[in-house]
Amino acid sequence: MATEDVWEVEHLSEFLERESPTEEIGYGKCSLLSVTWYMTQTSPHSSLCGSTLEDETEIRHWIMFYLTRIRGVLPWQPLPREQLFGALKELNSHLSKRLYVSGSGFSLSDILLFYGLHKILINMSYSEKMSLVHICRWFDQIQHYPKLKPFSWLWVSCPKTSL
Amino acid sequence: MGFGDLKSSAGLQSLNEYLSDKSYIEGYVPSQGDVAVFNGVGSAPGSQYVNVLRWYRHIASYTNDERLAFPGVQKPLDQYGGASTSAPPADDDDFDLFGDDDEEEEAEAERIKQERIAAYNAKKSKKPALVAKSNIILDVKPWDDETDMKEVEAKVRTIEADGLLWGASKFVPLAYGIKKLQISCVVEDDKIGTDFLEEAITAFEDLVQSVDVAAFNKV
Amino acid sequence: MASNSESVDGVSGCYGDPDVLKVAVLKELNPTIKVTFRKCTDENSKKSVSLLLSNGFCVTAANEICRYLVKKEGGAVVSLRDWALIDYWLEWEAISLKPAILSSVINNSPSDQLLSCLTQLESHLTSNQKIVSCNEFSLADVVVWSTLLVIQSPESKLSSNIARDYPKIAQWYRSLARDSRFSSAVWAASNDKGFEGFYDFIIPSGSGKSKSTTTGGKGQSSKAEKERTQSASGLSPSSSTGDMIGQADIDKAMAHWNEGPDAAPKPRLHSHPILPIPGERNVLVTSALPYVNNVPHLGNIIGCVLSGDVFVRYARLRNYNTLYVCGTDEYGTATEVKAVKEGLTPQQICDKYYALHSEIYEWFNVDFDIFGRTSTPQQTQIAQDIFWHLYDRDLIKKDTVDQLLCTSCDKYLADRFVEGICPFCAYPDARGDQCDKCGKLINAVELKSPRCSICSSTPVVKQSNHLFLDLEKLQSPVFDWAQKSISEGVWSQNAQFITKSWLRDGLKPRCITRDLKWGTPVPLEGYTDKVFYVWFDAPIGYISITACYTDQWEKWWKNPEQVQLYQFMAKDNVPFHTVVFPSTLIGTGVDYSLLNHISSTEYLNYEDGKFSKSRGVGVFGNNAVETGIPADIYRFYLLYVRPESQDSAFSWSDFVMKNNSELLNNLGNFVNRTLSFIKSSFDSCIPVMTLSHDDSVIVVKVTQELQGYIECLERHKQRDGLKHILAISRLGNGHIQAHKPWELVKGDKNQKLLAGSLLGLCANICCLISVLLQPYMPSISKEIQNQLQAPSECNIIWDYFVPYLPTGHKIGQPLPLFKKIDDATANELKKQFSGQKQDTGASSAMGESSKSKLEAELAKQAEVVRSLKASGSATKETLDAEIAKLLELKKQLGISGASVGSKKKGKKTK
Repeated sequence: MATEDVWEVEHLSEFLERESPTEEIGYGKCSLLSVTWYMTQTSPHSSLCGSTLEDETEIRHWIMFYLTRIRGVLPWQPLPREQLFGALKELNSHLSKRLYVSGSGFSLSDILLFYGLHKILINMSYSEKMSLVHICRWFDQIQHYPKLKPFSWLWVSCPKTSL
Repeated sequence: MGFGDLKSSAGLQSLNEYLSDKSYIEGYVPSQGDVAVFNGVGSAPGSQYVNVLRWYRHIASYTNDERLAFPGVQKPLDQYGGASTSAPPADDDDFDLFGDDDEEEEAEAERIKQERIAAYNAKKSKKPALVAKSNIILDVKPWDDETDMKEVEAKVRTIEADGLLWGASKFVPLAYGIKKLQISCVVEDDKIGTDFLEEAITAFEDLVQSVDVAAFNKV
Repeated sequence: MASNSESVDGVSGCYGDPDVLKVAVLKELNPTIKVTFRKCTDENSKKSVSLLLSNGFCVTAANEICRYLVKKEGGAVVSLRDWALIDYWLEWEAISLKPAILSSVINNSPSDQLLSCLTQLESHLTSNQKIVSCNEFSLADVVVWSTLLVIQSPESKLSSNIARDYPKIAQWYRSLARDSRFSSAVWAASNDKGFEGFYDFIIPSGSGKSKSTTTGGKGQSSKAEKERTQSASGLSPSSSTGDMIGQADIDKAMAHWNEGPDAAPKPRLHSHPILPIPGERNVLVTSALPYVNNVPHLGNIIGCVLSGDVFVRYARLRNYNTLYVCGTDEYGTATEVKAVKEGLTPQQICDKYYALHSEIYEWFNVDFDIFGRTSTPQQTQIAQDIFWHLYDRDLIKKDTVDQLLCTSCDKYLADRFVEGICPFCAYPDARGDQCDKCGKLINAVELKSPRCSICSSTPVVKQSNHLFLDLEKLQSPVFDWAQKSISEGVWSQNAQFITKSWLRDGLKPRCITRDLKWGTPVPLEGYTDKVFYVWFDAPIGYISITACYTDQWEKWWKNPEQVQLYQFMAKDNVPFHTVVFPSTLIGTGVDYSLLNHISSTEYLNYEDGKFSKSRGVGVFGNNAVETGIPADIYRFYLLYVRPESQDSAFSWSDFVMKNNSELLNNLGNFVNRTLSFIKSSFDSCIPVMTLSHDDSVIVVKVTQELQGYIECLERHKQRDGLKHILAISRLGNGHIQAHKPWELVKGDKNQKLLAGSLLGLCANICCLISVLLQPYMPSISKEIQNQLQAPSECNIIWDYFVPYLPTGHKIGQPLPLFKKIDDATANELKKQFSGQKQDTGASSAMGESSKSKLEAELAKQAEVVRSLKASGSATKETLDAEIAKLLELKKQLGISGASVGSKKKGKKTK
């Protein structure tokens, strides 16, 4: 499947200070959520998966939201622009109420969405970003998270709203 | 300087604008600055102050003890957020850097950026460009048992293209004396698709009945 | 934030949403789960399934909701690693499978993504019984199953492809579907609509659109199908089934093989009259009674008599004590009308057509124990007896009926002779008894703008006294009976659906008398000039025909404890067998044997349209005889395309392809090469058999196919049963191909022994095939046994594969079993039954005549040009003009010639 999965798993494993588990669980690299979930849970950073079942469900909900609505249902087929922007608007409105994607704080959902959105935001115009201020604010927060590496070294500039 | 009276609507408005593009009062982690302003606001603001509300709820989700353990030293309330009157940033790549920490913040951001560029370059030199490649095994079936499979193989190997490298092959018996050609190749994903391979091989229509992808693995 | 009205921990979703089904299954497994279903009326009210968490967050990702519910419940401890496996499949379902299925359903043709998903799942299930087997059912199984259900819908063209191309998926799917918790979840989550509910949720724009997409997708899917079958039949079996056979399987199968036929049961000898034997499995099988004055077409034949015959032959081979009853349904207006038309009495008409029916079924090798008729004294006696029981129990009501009288025909019009606009769905060509479009039963007088179907004039309404069966009073016992029968017996999906919707709508009193002469007379004073309505009367024919077979018929029909009743029909007959007839029998208060199992087929189309006697489209029973193709080949093909879960089509080109690929190249080839080789290299004697490891793996695989065959036939999956036989011969072919006995026999002693064992095994596989094939192709079965000189005691289907041909057994003369049918013959036949025989004849004749006319003109013109040239006096213009005329004529001829030539189909390369 999509090669970016490999990239994401590799970088997450660096961040978690843990080997990539694909051989332990016997499946390939075409399953971003299940592989990263397992490797996070079995790493010293298991709290990134939430501490209660409710948190866990919410975190996973947003990762699924990203996988199905933003990354594209089929990774090799990019989503039509209107659909992508519909989903981004939804995320933007969600993030108007949250500092992090999931209510409990910084979690795996922030990391995976950060990986994925980096590629999208880097290609966006200033005015497009202005329509997604809450995503930009959240993204800027996450890209300053220590040791977290984005998709590429390019820094995403986030528009300022406060003058 | 400061947000003014945080109990007044003007003060909350000012704080709301300040937090529209920031998660925390200072920097990228909760700090004593957040505690100071949090205490100044005192209670959850109305929903018209969406940014304040978001931030307030987040800070409120910590216990008092946790808040006390936030880094930094509390300063007088009016020393936070004063830059709301400063000029807009000079360019896009600038960061929201305010007050006394400006220089330091910028230097920190620059350092992270340089680190990343260095890491990226290092990686690039080690692993020259990440080219996505796939290993494909194709099953090529002939029309009948009289087809010269050697010829089939020879024809298939005549297909040349940028990003295509033929690998090992063998003849696998099917039934009634018919054999199929199983041949592997490595392709660069950007340059060669399976459609191309299938089309090119079925072009030998006198020899080839069908082509199927038997395996497809990312390298 | 918690402004949603849903209560915390309760799931809410729309009926028909496959995601809701996932939750509904979990609820069946754990009843404490709370689910609220909501009706989805249009696109806007379509909302995804949702769950409000106690932290105020509303989850809408279906699989995450399920995961939450399962984890919350606690239950068996599942390790992190097992959760990782489950999560993998949850993610796979949400990201790959579900989108692929939705787009395939919408386009009604399987997308490449779907096929690749299915291939992946198939290969996973080849080595695993369940998707994840850490528990009784894992969440992964529930979630994938629920999504796959959508393509099981009868509306969908995809389900049969799956059953055929992905046997492991099909097997896994069925094993869960058989679990009552899964099936009740299907009803619960679809608002009792079954498959259709889910289908409508995805494609809500009504039946009109789905129909057009169905036909639209047909061409594509059949092409894709063709391609896949071609490649599938080219695969060697060992590569497609994998090597997941363990030593335990080998030991078990080989133990039975080594023990030989002694442990197997012996075939039972049947002597008439066959009567139920206490303590045995007594099986009473009926096929829907064909209406006497129609010549049955291939669709009718596969729909009832042939399907019943396959089951009966199978049941006999399983040593069930089996009786197969059928006959012609003879009473009714149609017969009266036909009699008038042909200047005969109704009785003479029935005699004439009864003979025709008998001949056709005999030709098709349908082995009834009795093929009777309904116009007998037994019918009158039993029908009247049932009537009096109902009358005594106060279940007969008297009422006046508005009836339609056609003044121009001077006849009360029976329901089927009135057409008009359906009062329910406004379909313009509804019949007086039933609407073909919405399937609802209609009282003829309710039709809008009624017209006489014979003369098209508008009938007048007249009052007439009639008797009614008060079905309302029987609603509750019939409902109880149906529930019990559905849960205990084998019911086709469509039969369950039709019955449930009938009972849900509530039963109404139904008229059981008619103003006719040709029928069973009503015995009640004041009504003696009337006869019983055909649908009250006809099912009683099953009983009266049995009574004609034996005077001890009550041992079959009043013996529900010891008799299992199996009924075969097409789906239009379902309500009369599952609601009306059981109501009648239950109403008598007598303990009749009631339907236990029902197999109801969908419709078989002919090429791209329907069979039509009046237009001469399609193959009718008598035509089949005339084509010179043996009956067994028809039986094979009809069963191969048996419309089990959806409509299918008889297509000549497919017919020829199946004959040539499956029968000739696969099955026939295997039997013939095995026998010929034994004859040439082993002097026609079965060699010493010391089975190698590879041989015993084949024994295991054959045993597995055999057991799959038994399961299919028990569940009336006759299409799939046939595929298991073909898989066995494919295994045999692959085994021979892989070991090349023709080389081994030239080798040393050990190699010779290997070759001998292999051939001995293959001969015994041929023998097994001959037995399993008997229900499908009885003559071919006999021919194979003849060539094998197989002992008659091999004619038994046991759960294990045992050798009936011992070392030293002498076989007979090997001969080819099947003939190749060429494309030209197929095209010929296709043309012959296309219904445009006259038309095409005329047009091509016209083509011929215009062609010769053109040729004559051409010759004439050529002469003109020649003489002009010869004279040398013509101007250049005149000459050019005449030459142009000549060229024009030549061109015309050339075009018509080319168009004739291009009709021949070129070889397809892709």
